[in-house]
Amino acid sequence: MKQGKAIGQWLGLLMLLGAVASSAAWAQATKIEFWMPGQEPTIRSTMEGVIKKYEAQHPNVRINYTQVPWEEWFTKLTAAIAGNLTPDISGLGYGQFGMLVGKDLFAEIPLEAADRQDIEAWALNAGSYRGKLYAFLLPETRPFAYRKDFFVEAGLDPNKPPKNWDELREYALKLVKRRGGKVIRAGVDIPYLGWVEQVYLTFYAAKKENANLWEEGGKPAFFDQEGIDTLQYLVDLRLKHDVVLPSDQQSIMGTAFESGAAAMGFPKSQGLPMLLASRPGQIGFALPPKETYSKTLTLGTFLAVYKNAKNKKEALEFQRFINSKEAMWEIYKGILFLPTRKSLQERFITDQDYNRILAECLKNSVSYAVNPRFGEARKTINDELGEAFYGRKSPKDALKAAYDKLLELSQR
Amino acid sequence: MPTGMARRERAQGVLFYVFMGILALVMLFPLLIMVTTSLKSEAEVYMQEAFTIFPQTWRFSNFIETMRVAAWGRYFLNSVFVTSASVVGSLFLNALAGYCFAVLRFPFRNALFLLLLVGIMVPYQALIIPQYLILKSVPLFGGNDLFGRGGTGWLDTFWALIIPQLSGSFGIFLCRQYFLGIPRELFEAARIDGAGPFRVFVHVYLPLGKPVLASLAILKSVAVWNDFFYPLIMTSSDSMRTVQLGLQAYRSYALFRWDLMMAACILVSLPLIIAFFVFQRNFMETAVASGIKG
Amino acid sequence: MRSDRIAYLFILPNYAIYLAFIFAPALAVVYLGFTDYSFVAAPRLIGLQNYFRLAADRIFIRAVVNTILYWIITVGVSMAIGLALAVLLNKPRRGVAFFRGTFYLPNVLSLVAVALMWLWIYDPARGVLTTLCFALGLPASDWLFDPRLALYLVMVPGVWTMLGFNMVIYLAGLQTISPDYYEVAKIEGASAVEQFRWITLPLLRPITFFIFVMSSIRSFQVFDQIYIMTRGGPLNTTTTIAFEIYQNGFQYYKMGYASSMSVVLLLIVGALTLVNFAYGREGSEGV
Repeated sequence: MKQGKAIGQWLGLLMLLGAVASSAAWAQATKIEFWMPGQEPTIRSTMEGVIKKYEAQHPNVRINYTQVPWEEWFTKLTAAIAGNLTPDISGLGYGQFGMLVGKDLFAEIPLEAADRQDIEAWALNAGSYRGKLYAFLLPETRPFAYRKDFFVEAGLDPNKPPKNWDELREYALKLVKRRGGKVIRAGVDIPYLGWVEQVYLTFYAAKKENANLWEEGGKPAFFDQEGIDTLQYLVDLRLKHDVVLPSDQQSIMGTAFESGAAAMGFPKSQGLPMLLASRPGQIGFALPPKETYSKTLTLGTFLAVYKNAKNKKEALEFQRFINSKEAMWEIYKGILFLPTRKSLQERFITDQDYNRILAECLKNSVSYAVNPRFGEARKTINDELGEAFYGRKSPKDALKAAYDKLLELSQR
Repeated sequence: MPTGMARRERAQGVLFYVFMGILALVMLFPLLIMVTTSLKSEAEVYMQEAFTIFPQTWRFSNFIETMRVAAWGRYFLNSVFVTSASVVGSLFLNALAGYCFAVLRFPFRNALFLLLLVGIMVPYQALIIPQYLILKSVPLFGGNDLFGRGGTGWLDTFWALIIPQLSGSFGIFLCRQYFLGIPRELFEAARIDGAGPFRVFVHVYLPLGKPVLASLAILKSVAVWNDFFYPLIMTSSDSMRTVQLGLQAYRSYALFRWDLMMAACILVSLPLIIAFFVFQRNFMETAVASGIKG
Repeated sequence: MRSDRIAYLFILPNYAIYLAFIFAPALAVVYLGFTDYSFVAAPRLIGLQNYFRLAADRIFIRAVVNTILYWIITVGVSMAIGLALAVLLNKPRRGVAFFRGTFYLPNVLSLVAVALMWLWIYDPARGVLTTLCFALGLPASDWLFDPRLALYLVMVPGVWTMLGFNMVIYLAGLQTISPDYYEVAKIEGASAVEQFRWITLPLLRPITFFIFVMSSIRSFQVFDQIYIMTRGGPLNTTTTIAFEIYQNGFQYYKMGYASSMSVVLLLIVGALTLVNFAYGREGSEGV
């Protein structure tokens, strides 16, 4: 019995402490939970700078910042959603946004007219669903890049990148290096394992206007003659001309071009400074080789506020701040997400010599449409495209199989 | 001894060492690669046309540089704390439980033991979400009310990383097997002398159980130290990360720093390697003696 | 025999934690296997639909096949090599402790580190294997990017880390076999091979079953290597049940479906464990 009394006393004390603590919290500042994916230390330092500025302007708000490496990001966020422990505001993967926006997870953004004028339409479209805006896009794009030193080695003019698909193939044939019958340096980097639908989309969009893998909602839209021809061209680069290396877009080791094992490729814009620093003067940039059009894959990270956020109003305010001119410029300088405001374009283009090309790429970009089953859909396409790249299916059969599966998926 | 036999024995001896030596080299070759890669400069690892074994310049500074990439000091502290607490706690609890199942008699003993076997068989990826939800709902912790609602419970705290580790079906199983092999007369004698069950445990079985405890300690240390997936889900702050999570920090936009990554892998494995060499004799001579007794 | 009910108190901490953090989640998973839970809304019961879908899911079937292949080969090879090494190193020669330590060392490394190491070795353009092939004039493969080879290549790190552990346990077992048996056999004129077959192997039986069960459970849960080295590719040739559980749960948000996969895995492992306990009881004190 004595024990029972002691326990009762402890419980009482705990409850008292709990009451005191929560009332103390009442008087404290509003707390906002902010999560960002990625592991670069520059993300943290840049965001913390932005946060500091915001907190200075809003003294009764405290922002708790957490950064999660991409490897863990999806698991982490899924667990948070399951446990109803989502942050107030967070970054989101490109496809991830598409999967979650349809589940009514995000708060609609009250966009002012001035912002609507200033922010590029394609950026606003990317973050919209059924006509409403739910997230701001922090874009990264993938221009065409090539190794000038390898060009010179192969007898090509380092200032004349390939202009179309035929030239791309011809150059690749000249630039490839083999040993023992095996390609050890690819002519052009076509990552055909892992996320091959990204490469496919880039080239497909060069053949067809407004190309996309699927419509908003997931209905597949790639099974046509242009799609088949695109896949045939890409598959030939591997099977017929043998100018590519096994390369995985999301490999932990980076793509072949980034690691110096390919002469031409499509590196991510965020990695360019590091790439250039490691090979000064050797990298050239251009718009992707044109077939009918010249399109660049533009993805990036979305920024959204959660609908059930504890402090939604303050979170939306913070989101607006991140998207403001000053913060957007800081984020560009620190993390290399490209600015989407028209008013920043001049400053952007003069900031780095290759930014002119990046700006052009952004204007002609292609990306994923919103798909509530993004994860499964893209894996399905990826698998079927892979079958074509390994010569197990003809491009037409592969695309047909992918189309059928995606159609069924979108209707479930 | 006839010289023929002596010579043959010596030849066998040489053959043995040569054979074992080659085998050991093959076995350790990947480790060798890891070490030499960690000592290479970035340019060598990365931009080479082909692979070379030895570094041109021996960059021991890589080890220091790798520590700067993330808050390694903190990660190491976390891992050490979580691992030691888990090992000490689980060792005691498992030995005690194993003793109960092996020696003491009580109703439903066998059924209760069999139920524990489920714990050995289940895949951890499957359990992770329910575990996450349960850890989130621990009452009165992390801002939760009496019913475990409203806050984050044990998530992102050391409780989440340690408490679930304390119950090990495998550890209980091993201890039980081992204690079954200890003659029951010892138990009887001690009881007749008037000792309670707990005292018998502490004074008779624990001392005799040193071999199995040593083995368990090593197995548990390795398991907890190397656990990656579980801390991944249960922690979010940087200050709670363990050493395995730290290894994730090396992936970058453009360049993957193999040299720093390998250096980090070595540093992360080092404590266990050292512990292993220190406790080696203990572990290997008497390892899992309980397993033998079947 | 008075019953020591205080034992309940002793096992309480263990049991409480076990029930809360292992058993209850396991039950939750079984339940979720009958639902369409996808994290955002509450789970909705859909009966056996998930299981029907599993039966027709080609990728899952592939994963099951891969997992079984992985299990048979890694456990078989690592046990065989482990036993062989244990027999060889059972002599009191000088330096034996060094060799034992060497072979056991890989078991102590983190799987993340091991997977990365082997990923580097397998790099198709510049890795160790490719370079070796060039040096020897052999045709180099794409290694992990070759759908025919990938699964077997992924097994190598698994065997590499497991065989030292098996060797150590076998060593302990060998040391309990009384040398008298061998003396008698030698006098009777039995060869080394015959001694091995008729004395060593049978007496090691309980250990063999123990190692077999533990290794099997571990190999059925293989995940880390796949996650880091191949992500299930190329063309789903290296996906395993555990990896599909992760993919479906955390990438596709199909937690109900992933849970049904977990139940399948649980049933397979459970069946294996039960069979082994029944079989391995010979020569051991009953459970």
